[in-house]
Amino acid sequence: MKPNHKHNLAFALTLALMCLLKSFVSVANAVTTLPIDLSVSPPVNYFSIKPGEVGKYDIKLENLGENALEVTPTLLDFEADDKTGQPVVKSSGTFPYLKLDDGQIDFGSNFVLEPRQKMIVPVNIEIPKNANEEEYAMTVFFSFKNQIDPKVPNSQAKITGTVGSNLIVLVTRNNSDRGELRVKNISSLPTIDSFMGIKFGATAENIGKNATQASGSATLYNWQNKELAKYEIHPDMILSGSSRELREKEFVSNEFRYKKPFMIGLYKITIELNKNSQVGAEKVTMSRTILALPFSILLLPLIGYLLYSLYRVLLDKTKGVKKVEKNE
Amino acid sequence: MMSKNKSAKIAIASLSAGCFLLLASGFAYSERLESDSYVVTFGNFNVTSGEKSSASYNVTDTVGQIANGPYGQYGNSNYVIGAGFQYIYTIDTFSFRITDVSVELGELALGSHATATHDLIINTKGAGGYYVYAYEKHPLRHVNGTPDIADTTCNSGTCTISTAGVWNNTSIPGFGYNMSGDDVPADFINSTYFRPFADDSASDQMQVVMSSSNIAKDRTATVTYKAGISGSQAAGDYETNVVYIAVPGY
Repeated sequence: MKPNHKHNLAFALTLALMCLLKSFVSVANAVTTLPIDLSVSPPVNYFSIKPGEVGKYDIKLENLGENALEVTPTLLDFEADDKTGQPVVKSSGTFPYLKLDDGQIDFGSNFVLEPRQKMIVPVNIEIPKNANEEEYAMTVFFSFKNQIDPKVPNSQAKITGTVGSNLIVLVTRNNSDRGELRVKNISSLPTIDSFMGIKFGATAENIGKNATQASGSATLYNWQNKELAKYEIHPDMILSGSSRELREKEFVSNEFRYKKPFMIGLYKITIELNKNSQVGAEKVTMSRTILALPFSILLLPLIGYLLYSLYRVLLDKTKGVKKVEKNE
Repeated sequence: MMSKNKSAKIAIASLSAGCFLLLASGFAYSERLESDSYVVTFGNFNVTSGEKSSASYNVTDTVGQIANGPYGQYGNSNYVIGAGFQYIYTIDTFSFRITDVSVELGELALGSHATATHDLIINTKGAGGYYVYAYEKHPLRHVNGTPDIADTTCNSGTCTISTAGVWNNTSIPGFGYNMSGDDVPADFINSTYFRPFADDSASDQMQVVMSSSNIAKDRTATVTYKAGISGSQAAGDYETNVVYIAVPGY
């Protein structure tokens, strides 16, 4: 074989190898799926409207991924979980007065969001004149998946993402806050060990007509009614007809804690809440008393006595066995 | 020379005064300024507000605000007024990322379990936190429409859609998932604990698989899918659809 032919053959082989590698890469690309990433704003919207009026706001969507998404909007009701502010999503949407983009976008039909595309979805709310004053809690959901569904040759689970934007609509004839909060309960141990510290929680209930923000404080007093600690309440929204655990503002925790090296006697927890967010709103309170005693100190002699008794019993038994052995 | 300096001083003074007046008057109008590329929002009209954080906590506050709260005057015009830093969260964003949307389980073989994973990533600045629900539309089903691979009941036959159990016995077939990472349910004690998905076709209630009642920044959980077959299972490819629903707290 001449050197030129050798070079040609090597070149042809290299070319063939490259083509083969390229085809493998193409197959791999065909089944590789890119992440899907959708952003929605606002996450929550509180919307107040009078009967007979039309209201509008925008939901902003952004495809944060690198591939086109097929997006399908849905409207579903939710109810409060009565504990944490978790929307418990229902299987149907019953609010009839909401349209997307003046009816241009139908719930259940889909549209495409190109990579990195932002889109504004106008939301129109039209309340009839004879509508009842009521609060509606719902979520506008946007299901999203890749516009092009890659074919995978084996068994698989296809994944669809859905992201929601909560909407709480208040239909009201006046603008005053008619939320009505009350302290539902204070949860804590009735007695604690002097070295344990105090931990407590509290739940508020809104028996009013609309969602309102929790505001107020939790205060801990000793037996002399001296204030030991005061915690501001985190401004969480409590929906009409629901309950929610109160959180202290500093650490955004539902567990209020007070710790001293040694505590003894009676301690009083008082929760004071503003009934609603109106200026000069009435305050509602609930108190609970806790007894702190040095149980661990009292237990130590008892445990010592028990151990000593056990030791005596074992010692007597051992002596008994030795006596029997001696007699034998 | 002096007159030039004087003119410059006058120009700077006029510009400063103009800026001051413009800024001062901006609050009075309370306009929402935005275009396709920007949104300007005013978080606070009063003493102080904002997000404070350390390594262990994040807090927000509004001090000196009057008419604080999300519901405001509505009146005759088509707008809603809200004030206070917390209200600004209603114009924040909530994003949900899924790192793979086609979870390949490969060829399922007798006496072994096939696994595949992807991540769920959540970002929200809302103090109400977030919740991610999951359900399957139906059990893993043969691409020809029948039969199904039953959802797992784990080694002991006791795990349910809401309670995970150990599933590492490869002779036990089924389909299920494990969660690890941020904000996942406590019953996923380690990587051997699995649950079956809530089955929409059997009217199961979808289950929370990630949750937090606080601000979330790149909170990431890994979902591990597992499938195994029994000796009587028909050969072929099996498919299902799994839906993840991310909802912000209110």
